[in-house]
Amino acid sequence: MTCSTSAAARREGSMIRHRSRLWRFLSRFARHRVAVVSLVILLAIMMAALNAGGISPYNYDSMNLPAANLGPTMEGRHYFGTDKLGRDYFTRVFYGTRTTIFVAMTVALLSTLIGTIVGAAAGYFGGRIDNLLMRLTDLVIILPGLALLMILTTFLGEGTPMQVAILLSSLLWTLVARIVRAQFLSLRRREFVEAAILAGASPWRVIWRHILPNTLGPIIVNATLTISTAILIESALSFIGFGVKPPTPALGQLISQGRGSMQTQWWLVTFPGLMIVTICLTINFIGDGLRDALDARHARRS
Amino acid sequence: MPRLIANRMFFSLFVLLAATLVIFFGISSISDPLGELRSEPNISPESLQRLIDRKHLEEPLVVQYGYWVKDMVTAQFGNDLKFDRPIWPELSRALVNTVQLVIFAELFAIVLAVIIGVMAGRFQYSVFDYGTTILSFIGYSIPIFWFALILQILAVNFYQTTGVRAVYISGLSSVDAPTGLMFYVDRIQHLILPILALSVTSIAAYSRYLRASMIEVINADYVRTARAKGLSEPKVVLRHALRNAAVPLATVVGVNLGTVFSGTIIIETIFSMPGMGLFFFNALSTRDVYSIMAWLMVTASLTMLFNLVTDIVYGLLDPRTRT
Amino acid sequence: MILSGLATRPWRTIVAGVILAGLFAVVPTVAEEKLQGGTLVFAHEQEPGTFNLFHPSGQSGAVAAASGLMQVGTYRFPPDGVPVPFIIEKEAEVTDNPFTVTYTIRKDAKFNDGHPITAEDYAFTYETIVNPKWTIANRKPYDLITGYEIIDERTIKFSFSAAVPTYRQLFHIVLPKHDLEGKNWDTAWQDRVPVSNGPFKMESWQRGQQITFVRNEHFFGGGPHLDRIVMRFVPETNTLLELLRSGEIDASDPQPQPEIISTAANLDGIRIDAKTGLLNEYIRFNFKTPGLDKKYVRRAIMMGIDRQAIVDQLMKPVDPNAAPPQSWVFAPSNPHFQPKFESLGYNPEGAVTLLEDNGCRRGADQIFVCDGAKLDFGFVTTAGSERRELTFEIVQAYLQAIGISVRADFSEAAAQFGTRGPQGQYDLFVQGGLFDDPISLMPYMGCEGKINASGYCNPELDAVMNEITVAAEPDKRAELLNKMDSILADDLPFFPVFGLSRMVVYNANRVGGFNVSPFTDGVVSTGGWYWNWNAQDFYRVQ
Repeated sequence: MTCSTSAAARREGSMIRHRSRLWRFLSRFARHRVAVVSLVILLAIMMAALNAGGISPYNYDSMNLPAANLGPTMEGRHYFGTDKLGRDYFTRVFYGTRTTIFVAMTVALLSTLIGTIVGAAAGYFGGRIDNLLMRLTDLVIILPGLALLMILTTFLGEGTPMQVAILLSSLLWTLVARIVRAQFLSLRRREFVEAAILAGASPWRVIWRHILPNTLGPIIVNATLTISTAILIESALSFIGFGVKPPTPALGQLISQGRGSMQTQWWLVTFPGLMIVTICLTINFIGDGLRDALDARHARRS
Repeated sequence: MPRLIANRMFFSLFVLLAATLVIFFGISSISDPLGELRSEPNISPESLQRLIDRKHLEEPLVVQYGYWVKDMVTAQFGNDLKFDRPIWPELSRALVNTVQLVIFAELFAIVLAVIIGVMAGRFQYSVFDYGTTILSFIGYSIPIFWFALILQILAVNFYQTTGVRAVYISGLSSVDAPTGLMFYVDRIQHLILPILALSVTSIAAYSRYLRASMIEVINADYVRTARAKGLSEPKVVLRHALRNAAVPLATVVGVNLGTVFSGTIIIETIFSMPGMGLFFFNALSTRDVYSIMAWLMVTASLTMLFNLVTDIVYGLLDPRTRT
Repeated sequence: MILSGLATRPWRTIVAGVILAGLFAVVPTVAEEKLQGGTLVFAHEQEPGTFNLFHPSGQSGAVAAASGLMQVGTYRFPPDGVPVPFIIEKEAEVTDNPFTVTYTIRKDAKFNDGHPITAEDYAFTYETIVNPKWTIANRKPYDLITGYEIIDERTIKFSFSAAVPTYRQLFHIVLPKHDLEGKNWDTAWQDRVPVSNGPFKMESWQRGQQITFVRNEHFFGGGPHLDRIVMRFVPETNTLLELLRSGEIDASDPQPQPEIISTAANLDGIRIDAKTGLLNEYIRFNFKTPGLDKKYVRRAIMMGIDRQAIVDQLMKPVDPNAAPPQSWVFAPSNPHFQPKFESLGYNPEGAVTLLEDNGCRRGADQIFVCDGAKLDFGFVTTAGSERRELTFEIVQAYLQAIGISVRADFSEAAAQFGTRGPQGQYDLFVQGGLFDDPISLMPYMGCEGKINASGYCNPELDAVMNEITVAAEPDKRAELLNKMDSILADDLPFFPVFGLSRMVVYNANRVGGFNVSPFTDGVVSTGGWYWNWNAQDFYRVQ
């Protein structure tokens, strides 16, 4: 009885603490003007990409041979021109953005999840488990990721965006794991954690209620930056022909298909390239803003 | 400390052993070394049988693994399957070329990053600081293959408008490579664009890192003391601030080297440079399984070595991180 | 006086005009200044791994690109399609029952060390190919040779156990006995070719960078004009185009990709020499896929695709004479040519009628369902090949219009040709191929074909193919080939979509003399040396 009331009260208290912490965080983030502007731009791009069919009168895969190879023009609303089959390139770039962002977001979520679990387990339990998990991390780190992905697609064929995302996640979790482990190692010895353990809380509960909330900052910052890393790796893979299976457009793949035509159809390479730069730039600025706001000094960049 | 190093080395060997298992059984489970040859109507069954016998492909996988490890240890990876050529001479030549490229690229990145980082840190919130900050963010965000393509176009446009061939866009040397001193000039002309493309991310990362540590160090007591002692400003910055700010950079460089090596796959393909990256790309396109595995082992060992050195250096500098 | 004279005698004016026109026609080539000597820098996408053309690893375009400069064969195969005796002084003499071929080597034929090419060298070449000690990719059809007789130093007669109608493609290289005897053939030509007989000889190979070929002073076929050809390796298409633009390379033999064609057309001085032969891009059906086992569905698919539009879009810019191929076995210029595939020309209404007449009904999504099988197929093609991806998109659009849907099932080249094709993991499959001979067709379409996993089998076709392999008499053979073609057009296990041009792209401000030949020159080297068969004629300008 008393126990439950005190638990409820504690929960309420922690919620208030969280709310005020959130408020402090938001106001701090808002002070980072570049990050705010970046966030607005990124959201706009994402909205446009999600609604790619709505913002353009064209379909990403409808051919129109007489209108092939048009440069960017307001006429006919081909803002980014057309490709060799007369498909509207504006539509294709935004559909490509959608694929690329989907892959990158999935990678950020999945790799953070894996990395957090591995890092938390290693850091909390320590000893043999830590040693084993860290050697596993070492193994993944020393295997060249880009090359492994190329090998997999060579022998197994190109994948759907989801498959590519899973493959990338299985290689990109190591940094999060190391960050989380380091945090856990230092937090594990702090009084409030030791108090919780002495009070008989289960390991899961200690991890979930006491340590993890205090490591969220670096995890979030790193997850944000992983989006940018994933976009760059995914586009590099697509560029050398080992990424998302066509005809689903992805940004790197669009550059790859257009790269032989840079002299004649510059727009085929320029627009998807600029899109990648814009997205990654905004994400990096947002990550910077988050870091400042969370004061997560320990988060290292990859 | 020596015990720590010995410990780390022991575990590194253990991880490398795990890597041989992952590489061999991973590759074997997804590929048929003879896949491409089997589908070639011009290759007779006897030819195939010869290749099968040579690599013991009819034995169980575990036995094949044994042969592979034996070849790796005693015969420097042995011969490849299709060409029946020793793998190592090719691979080592490629390795030398890539190491040359990576060293130049990293040296370039470090020198530039130190200049940018020190200036930006010393003159925080100046125009230079803001400018380089924005540039470094762009450096993080630019796909290097896209940047490489742009560099090539710019170089050719420059040649066509001025008639001066400042740089070359492919290969390691000219068709008629000059000798003596001019050989090195020619080599540099070929390396400039790949170096630029490869170092752009490193420059961004290192300069941001240095800027941050410069800001931290410059307000530290010992730097203030140095200033108070009346040392000239350049001396303060170089001798005291930079020295302390630069030490952690060594570890960042070590960690980053793996990424740079990955980047060579793309950069060397674009610039037709006969290095590790192009070796891998070619091995993959001819599905030369044994060369692919050899490449993976060499790359994994190198990365392992970087990490080991980085860890040891870090351990020497900062005893707290001993685990 | 002269004027009136010209006016009164119009025929003279015409003659004078023709002569003048002839002079003018000659003038530009003279002004081009064909230089003697100089270097040509040539780029190929890959580095050869060996120069041993008979080894399994020697079956690549890179090996053919390098070897064609160093080697000449018994015959050569110019673009007009008429084989010309080259090492031999006259057509080989052929007899039936038993089938024999007699070569008479020309008197001036020499290797690059001045050693004459003799009957001994032919015998040695044969012995090497059939020697079980060596790794030879394929001994066909040399394994049919039962013996040889050296009649004199320059004459040799080979006897065969069966007729080999393609005998002109035999001995497309001749090995120098005086240099190779007693050496390990498997490794002798792995790194260099000391003695060869072509217009150029190998000077050096800086691995990873370039191979240098220099003029063969002893070459007996005229020329060569150039002092040197340097071969470099450029895997990236865009880099290749930039290299051409910057003049770092003079010529290259890329795949006929539309991007190269459109870019080259816009670059100053860059020309493309392309010829289309019997090498076709084709679509192959899997008979194990429900729906595709029905002949009328396959016919409807072919009738629903406007092959002319694809040719116009993809190949016209390279080869203005490109047209949809109507025969697998003969080019339109050949007197034996019969357009077997013409009856299945573009006819979308006809295709729809054909499907409806056979009881197919459109589903809610307008896609036909025939006999319970929905006409919805996976289309396997090469990812990263612009030409193939564009082909897919065009085919998809055309078939959509007649109620057949195709889905992209793109695959990396190695996976496509290494596993998916040979194992039959496809519905529709796009590939390039040359099937003017049963030797090349059998593995794909024969009932026992080594890489036939499509479920197609027609004993009648097998019988005809077997008949052709032993039919040496030209008219008889042509008749049988056409019969084979009509079976293929009727069963429709596959159909040609467009001819694949073979091309060389070069900088006309710097080099010239290219005359691409679409014909193959050797049974062993399928890649052929189509661009370098006349390397002695290449020259530098300026």
